[in-house]
Amino acid sequence: MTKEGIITQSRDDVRLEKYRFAMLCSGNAMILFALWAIVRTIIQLYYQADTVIEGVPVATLIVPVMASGAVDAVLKFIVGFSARAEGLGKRKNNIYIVLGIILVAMSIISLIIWISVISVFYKYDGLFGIIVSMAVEITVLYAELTLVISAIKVRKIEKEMGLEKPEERGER
Amino acid sequence: MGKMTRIRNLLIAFAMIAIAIALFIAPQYGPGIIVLIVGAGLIVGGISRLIFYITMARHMVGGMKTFFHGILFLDLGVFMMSGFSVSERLVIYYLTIILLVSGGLDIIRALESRNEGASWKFRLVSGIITLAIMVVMIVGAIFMNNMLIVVYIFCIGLLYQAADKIVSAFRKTAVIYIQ
Amino acid sequence: MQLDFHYYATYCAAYLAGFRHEECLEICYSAQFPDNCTRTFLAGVKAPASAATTQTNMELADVDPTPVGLQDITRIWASFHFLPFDLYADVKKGGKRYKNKYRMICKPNGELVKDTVNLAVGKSLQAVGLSMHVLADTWAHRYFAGTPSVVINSTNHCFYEVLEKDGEWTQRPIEFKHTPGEDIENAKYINTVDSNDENSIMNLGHGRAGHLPDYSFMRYKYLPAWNDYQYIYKDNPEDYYHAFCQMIYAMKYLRGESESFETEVYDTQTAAPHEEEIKGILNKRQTDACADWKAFGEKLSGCEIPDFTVETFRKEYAESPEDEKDDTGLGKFIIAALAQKSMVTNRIYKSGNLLAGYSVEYDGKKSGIKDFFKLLSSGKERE
Repeated sequence: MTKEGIITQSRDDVRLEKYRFAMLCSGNAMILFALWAIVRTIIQLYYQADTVIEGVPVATLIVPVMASGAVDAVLKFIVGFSARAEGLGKRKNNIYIVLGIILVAMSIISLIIWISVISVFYKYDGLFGIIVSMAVEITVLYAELTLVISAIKVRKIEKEMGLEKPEERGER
Repeated sequence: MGKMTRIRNLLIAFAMIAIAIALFIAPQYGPGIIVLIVGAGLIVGGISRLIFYITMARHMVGGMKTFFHGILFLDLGVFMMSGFSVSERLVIYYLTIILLVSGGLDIIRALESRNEGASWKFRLVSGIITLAIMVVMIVGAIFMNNMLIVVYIFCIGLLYQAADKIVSAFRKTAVIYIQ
Repeated sequence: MQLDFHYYATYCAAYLAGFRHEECLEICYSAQFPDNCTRTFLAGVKAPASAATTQTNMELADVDPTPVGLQDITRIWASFHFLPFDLYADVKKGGKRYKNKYRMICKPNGELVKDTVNLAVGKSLQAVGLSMHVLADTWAHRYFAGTPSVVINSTNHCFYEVLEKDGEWTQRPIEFKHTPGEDIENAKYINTVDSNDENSIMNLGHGRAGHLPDYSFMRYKYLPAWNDYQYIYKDNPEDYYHAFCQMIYAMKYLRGESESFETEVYDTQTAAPHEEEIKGILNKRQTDACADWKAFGEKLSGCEIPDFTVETFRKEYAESPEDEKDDTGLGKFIIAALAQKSMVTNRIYKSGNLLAGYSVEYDGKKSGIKDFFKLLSSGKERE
């Protein structure tokens, strides 16, 4: 390669770096939020196992909550780690993008359900707690959307630039 | 330091002294108040990270992570203040880390000063005392299950930081320019 | 830059600029000393703490992350190691806080370099040496700022060494680690730990790039935090040669051989007969080029260059009576350091940037940090 080839950067190179970083950041965010959700859910269920919320014993909710949480966490880990890897220059298959779209759909549904029972959360968490919880839900959705959109854009730009091989992509 | 910064530091110092005195008088409320303070600190940390993202980090390569960290801190803070007793254990771990790092740095700094021929004994003693306080806190809080020790140590820490803020508020800081 | 360039290379440049061997030794000693003059050292000899030109890792860890502590850090690092290029740069993004940090970015050939060199006119050889340290560092440390800032100084995984062999250019990823032991053959280098805190000392200067700016053989490209996803290419051999030639030009000016010091002027003519040898040293893959520079310097002058040790300054200062301390090497260095710090702090303050704290014009009254009154007494003696 020539010196100019190494040190010169085109507009597409710049865009590519931008979207890769977006994937790296949002992939990391997905992993972090998934981990935190697991820890928080376990602690909350452990300390509230003997209580009753709106006439429903918490003990009866443990299994469905843990199951859905586990599915959500596994999906987030798969998508998050794959996005992270692709953000670092490694090419991953398209499956994680499909899973990412599924996560986006799940997050939107979850947000709608959450808003519909917001009065229950308000009773236990107060106004500030509600605002923060909503911010977390929206942020996770934002991370998922950013990840999916960035992954599609990275593929599009790499195809335009003809970067098929790993060494051309600067894969580490 | 500007006048407003000095006034702000003094106000914060007086607030710290007031909280410390209140905790000394009524230590039975200590664990709950410490949890509130640490939780509030996390919430403030989250908000400041979000403000930092909006004003600075969004112009930075990879700055989005600051935004995500801010939201996470907010959620951590709210969780901390939601009243679970496990929060007391978290406070003990948090204070242990602070004292360990502070005492350790003092000792390393003292040894470095000794190598350079500068005064070092005061710093060394200060570092050893800090580590000793940490040990007392761990023994008292975890093995003897006595949270009052944690409360008193927290109060002493607040008073020390308040004194530091008062001293720095009155320190001359301007550099003189002579042509 | 490090000892090999600040001490030995500055000796060589001073000799080529026409200074005698003994003068070169005084200059190059004071060109290296800004990397050794810590508060701890000054406290050990009971010298003014405000004259500190660097901070050890422990001193940095000790600093409170308050505005006062950060201003203290910025004063030292921006004045001596990361001279700001353009305090009035037109920054098209961010609010005032971001712009202030951006304007602290160090690059060579800024107005402050001229001010730094002019500050040494008619002053001691220690002042000349100190100004050469500052000038040389503007080349090595370009693109980083002498203030803790994650939005300016942080780096990321996009860091590549650029290699040239037989006209063929390649790049390889650099692996950073945080434990001692660098492996330059396999591109494994040390850097500071990643921190997202704007005011963390991990984000001071070129910590996040490790020692790479200080290795004369390194060519690398990386994504700085401030450059909107555009890579910066750093060619150290080229930059160091420019620094060397600029030092020759600057020291000829300080000797009185030219009427003014202008930026973007390099005395390549004087260096030309030795260009191949100098570039050979600069391009040689080694983390410490002291032996090569020393050999070159001794060949130039025919005299032995003693190894650098802080004991030289310490001993002389400690053994001098109180009223003669200002006339010792360290005493003169302290005056030069205070003057440099005062000038740079003033320029930064006057630009509306409070990152280096407040600067007050002397008004005949005693206000401000008392160490700096030394400048007043030294000014009166010159008159």
